[in-house]
Amino acid sequence: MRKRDFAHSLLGLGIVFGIFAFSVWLSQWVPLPGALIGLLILLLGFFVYGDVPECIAIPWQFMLKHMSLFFVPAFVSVPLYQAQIVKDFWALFLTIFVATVLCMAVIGAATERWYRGKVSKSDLNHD
Amino acid sequence: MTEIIWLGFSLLAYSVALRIYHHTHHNALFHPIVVSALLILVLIYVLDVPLQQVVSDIHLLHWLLGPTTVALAIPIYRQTQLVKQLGIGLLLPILVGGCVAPLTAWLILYALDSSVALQLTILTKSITTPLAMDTARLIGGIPPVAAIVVIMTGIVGVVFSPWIFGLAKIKEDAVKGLTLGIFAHGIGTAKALQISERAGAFASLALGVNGVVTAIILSLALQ
Repeated sequence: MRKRDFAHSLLGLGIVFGIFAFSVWLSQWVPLPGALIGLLILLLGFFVYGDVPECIAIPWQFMLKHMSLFFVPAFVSVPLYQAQIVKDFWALFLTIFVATVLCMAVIGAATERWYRGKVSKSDLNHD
Repeated sequence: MTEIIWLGFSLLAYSVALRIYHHTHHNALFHPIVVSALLILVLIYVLDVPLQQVVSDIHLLHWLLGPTTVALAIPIYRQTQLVKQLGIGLLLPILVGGCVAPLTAWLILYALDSSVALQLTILTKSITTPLAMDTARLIGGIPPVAAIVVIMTGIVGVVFSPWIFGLAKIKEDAVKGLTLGIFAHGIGTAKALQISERAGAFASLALGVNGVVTAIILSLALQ
């Protein structure tokens, strides 16, 4: 990575960290999770700017690619909630398996119908 | 000092988990989150260290989730092109699916008389994990349980998807992508990208829109 790219990436990292800090502060008054407020602010910024600036895209795409790493603490702490999970194990099992599979099949089939009608009407090409 | 050691081990466990995931051709059952957490839990058990202490030692990783969630605006912005192409109606199946998934899940838990905290947690089941954890915390659910429920939902959705697509006669890549993105969020999006680039784009859009809209509705309605 060239010196200029590195400085650019640092700027991009700083911008998003700044937006995050600001949105966490803002969440004292807005009834939404801080990170969600920040996401909406950044999204609005992209629409106003008309693109994703390279200085934000380069470092944060890397972070997004490895986002799984940031869930590790939450997963490691799951045994601390063992009692709650064990107590409602079958309810959770049913919800995760049955609700997910059924919803995917029903909504998926309805969406397929809707999409085919939409595509034949607007005559969009598949790519 | 113990922070540096546990952060280092977490990075090592994650890189091993990535290799395993790569070698199993991105099989959802070997998702890096699950494998790296299991490796760390095994080490905690072997070394007989208090779990709570390790969790606070690796807190920096948890903190980074916040700014990275903000950066989810990048893939969402890039997929808005699809909405311009297909019209605002494209958001309809995402919004309907986004309502049906948490409501059916909640109904099952309500019917089985589960605890209120768990009922609130399950409402975040199909939102992308970072938003799910934040929303669960805000509405009185249990964030780590939200994380495991979301990830398990994603794994189930992906593992059963070929069977579901066959049964429901879903053939369009765009619809496969939408379905995976709505119900199996990030893990589903990874699977959609394996199907085709088109499926991946629709999945990213569904994941973003569903996550943001559901998180806003739940936060405003239940806080």
